[in-house]
Amino acid sequence: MRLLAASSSALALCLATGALLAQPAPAPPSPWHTAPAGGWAPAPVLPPNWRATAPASPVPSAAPQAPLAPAPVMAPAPIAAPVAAPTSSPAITVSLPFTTYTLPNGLEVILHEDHRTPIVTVNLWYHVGSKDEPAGRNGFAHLFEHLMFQGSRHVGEDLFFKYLERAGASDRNGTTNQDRTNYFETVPSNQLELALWLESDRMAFLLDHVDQATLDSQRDVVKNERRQNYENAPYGLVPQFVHEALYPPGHPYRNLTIGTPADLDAATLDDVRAFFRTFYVPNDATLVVAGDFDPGRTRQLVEQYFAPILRGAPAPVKTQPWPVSPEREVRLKVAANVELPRVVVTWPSPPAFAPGDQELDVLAQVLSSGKSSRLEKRLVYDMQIAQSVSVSQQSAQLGSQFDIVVTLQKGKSPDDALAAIDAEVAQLRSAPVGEHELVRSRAGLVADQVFRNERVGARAAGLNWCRQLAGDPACTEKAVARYQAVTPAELQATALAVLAPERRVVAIIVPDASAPRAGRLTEVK
Amino acid sequence: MRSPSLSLALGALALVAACTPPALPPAPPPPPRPAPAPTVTPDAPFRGQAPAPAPEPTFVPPVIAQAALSNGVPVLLVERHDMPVVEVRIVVRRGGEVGAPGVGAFVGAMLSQGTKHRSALAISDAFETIGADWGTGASYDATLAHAQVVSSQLDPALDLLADCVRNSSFPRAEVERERAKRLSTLAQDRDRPATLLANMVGFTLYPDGHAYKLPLMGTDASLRAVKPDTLSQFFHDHFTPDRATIVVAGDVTKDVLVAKLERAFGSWRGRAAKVDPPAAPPPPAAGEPRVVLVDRPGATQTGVAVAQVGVARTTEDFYPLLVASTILGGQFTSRLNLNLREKHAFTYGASASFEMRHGPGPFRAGGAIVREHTAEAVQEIFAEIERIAKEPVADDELADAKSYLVRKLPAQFETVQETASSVAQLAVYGLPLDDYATRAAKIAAVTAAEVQKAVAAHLSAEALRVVLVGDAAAIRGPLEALGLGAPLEYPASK
Repeated sequence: MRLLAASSSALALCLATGALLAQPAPAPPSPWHTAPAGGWAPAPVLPPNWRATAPASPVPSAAPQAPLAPAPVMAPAPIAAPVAAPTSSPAITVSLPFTTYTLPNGLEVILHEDHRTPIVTVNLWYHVGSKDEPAGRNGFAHLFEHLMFQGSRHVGEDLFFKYLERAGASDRNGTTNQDRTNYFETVPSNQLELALWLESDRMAFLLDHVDQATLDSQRDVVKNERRQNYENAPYGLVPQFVHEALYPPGHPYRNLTIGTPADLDAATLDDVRAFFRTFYVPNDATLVVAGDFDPGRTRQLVEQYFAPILRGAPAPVKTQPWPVSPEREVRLKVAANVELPRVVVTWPSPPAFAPGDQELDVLAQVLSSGKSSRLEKRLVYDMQIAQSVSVSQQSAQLGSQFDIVVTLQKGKSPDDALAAIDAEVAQLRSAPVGEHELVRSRAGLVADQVFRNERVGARAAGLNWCRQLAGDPACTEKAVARYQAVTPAELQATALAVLAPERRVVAIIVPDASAPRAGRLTEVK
Repeated sequence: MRSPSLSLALGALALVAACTPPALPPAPPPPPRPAPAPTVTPDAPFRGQAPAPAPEPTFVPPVIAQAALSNGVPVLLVERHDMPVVEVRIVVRRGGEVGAPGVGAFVGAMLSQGTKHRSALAISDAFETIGADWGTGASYDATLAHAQVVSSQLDPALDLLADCVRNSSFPRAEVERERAKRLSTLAQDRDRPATLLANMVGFTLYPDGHAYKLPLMGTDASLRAVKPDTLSQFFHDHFTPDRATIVVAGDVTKDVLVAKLERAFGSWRGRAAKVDPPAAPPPPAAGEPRVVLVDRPGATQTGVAVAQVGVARTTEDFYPLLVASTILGGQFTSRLNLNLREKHAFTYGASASFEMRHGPGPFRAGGAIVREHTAEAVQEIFAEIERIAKEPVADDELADAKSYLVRKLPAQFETVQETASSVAQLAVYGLPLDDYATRAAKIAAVTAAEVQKAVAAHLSAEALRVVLVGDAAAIRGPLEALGLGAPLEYPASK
């Protein structure tokens, strides 16, 4: 259930790719070069957008919104409990109080007060993602998201961001992934009504504005996004090859959210209208307001702006687990014009919040949190063949992926890396993890929940994430408690159930100057 | 979510009640017919224009408490007790700007890879075990060791940080591990168009020997030349109490903190070697090529940077340039983004910024541009720079940019890490502690004339260079047609 860097928004990406898109001078962090060890280093180990998630729309720079924040946390005053000896993980309880109600038109509302900073976040999720796209329209959910920023009946072309930026919005964007499409803005607390006006206008009246010129222009922008983050990016198309091996035709996660140029070209204005009427209805959305606001006044404003919007038919979105069960290992060879070889191993794993999901978060930490973790120590420190190791449970609604990504040093052997991965995974299956490893892994996961939720934007995103994927905005407390309760025996059982050698996809990416930078699939076995 | 089923249940009850035998009272008048349900969402006058904002919240800048340890190390603390977290940053005011290329960043990475008391593995394990978000590293301007922890773990965090910045021992085996890794990173950087472009901007703008000419990471040759002694000498020269500042933000009180810091850092001794920060390079000589192109055959996009040596952080024009770069390329609604993305759809995003360091870092404007429109985009970028240098910005555009910068100030201090990072900037650049408190007024005072004057003073069409990473065969011809001269080309492998 931990998403790590998975759902990069456009913002996260800009940060990852360097200073060109950075804010003018006094923007906070300097371009530090850091030891990649500590979990602090900005250099992402996962390729940006590894996973079926498309960075969304725009905003060339600024601080990243906690991407698609994992489960969140934090009350205004969470309790960090006893001072623990440095060898035990700090026992922490968290709470994130909220109130929730549903308007007569079906729009769910979640309010979370937090007055630490005079800002407020509006975070609106439409429960539709690329998994719900019609056949032949791969990439449409994300293209549609771009259109939502171009104007609506009362908000003119290019004015959406103008209103927000002049109001001092510190964060504003939208993102699409396989499961949902989200829109958010963090504004000074006196500008809450502006954000509600903007969001309600496009929910009610988008179709009054969108036209062929807007569609054509944003189609080109999205193709540029695809070029920047996939076609022109090292290893950029490997996620697509892995998906095609893991998910059978017809599976909602088979295609990447970014889409294909052909399907993007095929999109028409009629598609836009139909998609809007089908999925962008108040009864398919959840509105979170979090931060420094007055609850009584906010309820009034939400009522005023959103209650008159007409309910639609129930949206035909996919919500049930859609398991995949490979009967054998699939092995892919990819040639790419890159300097460093890479090994990617992916297992299908339980959906977000299903039994095993959080156990896999812990196992990922056991393998890859810091120099002394098992896989990093073996591959990077002892064997000295790997440049970086990243392991993560990429939680999603219909089913998740447990990914191991190892980027090798120049000229080192992917086979040696795979053998080491196999040995470490076999060890997880054959013996319980040690007490100290468990303490260390748990500490990182719990602290991460605390740090992330310093941001009101992350709290809002977390409430919505819990609401859609756990069916309960209050999942955070349970998540933290689960991390703290999990036992070595449960971890071993999960490893045995999920990380089987015969039900996975292995991709070996080898440097080849004649291949595209993003990769060319050369063999499937 | 629960309410729909609840109202259904009530509806069923009402139905049962309605079925009880009637007592045949006189027929009631027919109920008024309900209005037909609307089929479209009704419009309303309040939707016609943007709502007026409520009264503006007051920005309360972080209150920075000062202290000094017995050995003179300055301490800057922003207390916040609204969450049980604390961030500690030990900042040394020199980084990649001094020493041979790549040495400062190498030292930054080595700070956590072996001390007199702990091995590299032990340091990592200890930080991870307390759940720290931590790291050590360098920029051109400074070197840093930092950790964020839940406040109950402050003691072990300070102990570890002090060990890193006081006792790093640069073990030979760890230096070799790190060297191999950094050489691999350099190779990896050649795959990343944005990094390649950034490196080429520095290489093009700065003369041989200038600290900003080569990447912070260094080069293959410079990394191979590094000896363990080179690193420990750098450490000895710069990691001293007179060059360090300890910045803390979060859940700890001043008295408690100072006592803890005194224990961890109070006996730290040493004097820093004197080294001046990088000077401004001379302007480019006449006849130098104005277009530099790194060939990447087949690339469907071109990384474009229109660049010039910019200004140091201490420039007197800081605020006019901040406003200027915001209007030109610092927000979604900037001129460059609206032009290149929204009007022309040449790119996913365009931007411009001055990277201000101890010395004058680069100014850059550009984006990743679709190959077929590379030359047109370059032309548009030049036109936008020229326009902001030659015409005063419009009143509403100026007001909007200033509002954006002023009103987002509170959000810049939302987390303890952001707060500590912002306060550390004051130490690194020698700025007064009231810098953030006075910022709103200074931004508000910027005039259109000052914006224009500052841009004209620091950017000029003649000095701007065009740096590109893209498919030379496809873009060379259109670029030559711009009249900027033939591109100086580098092969892809450079």
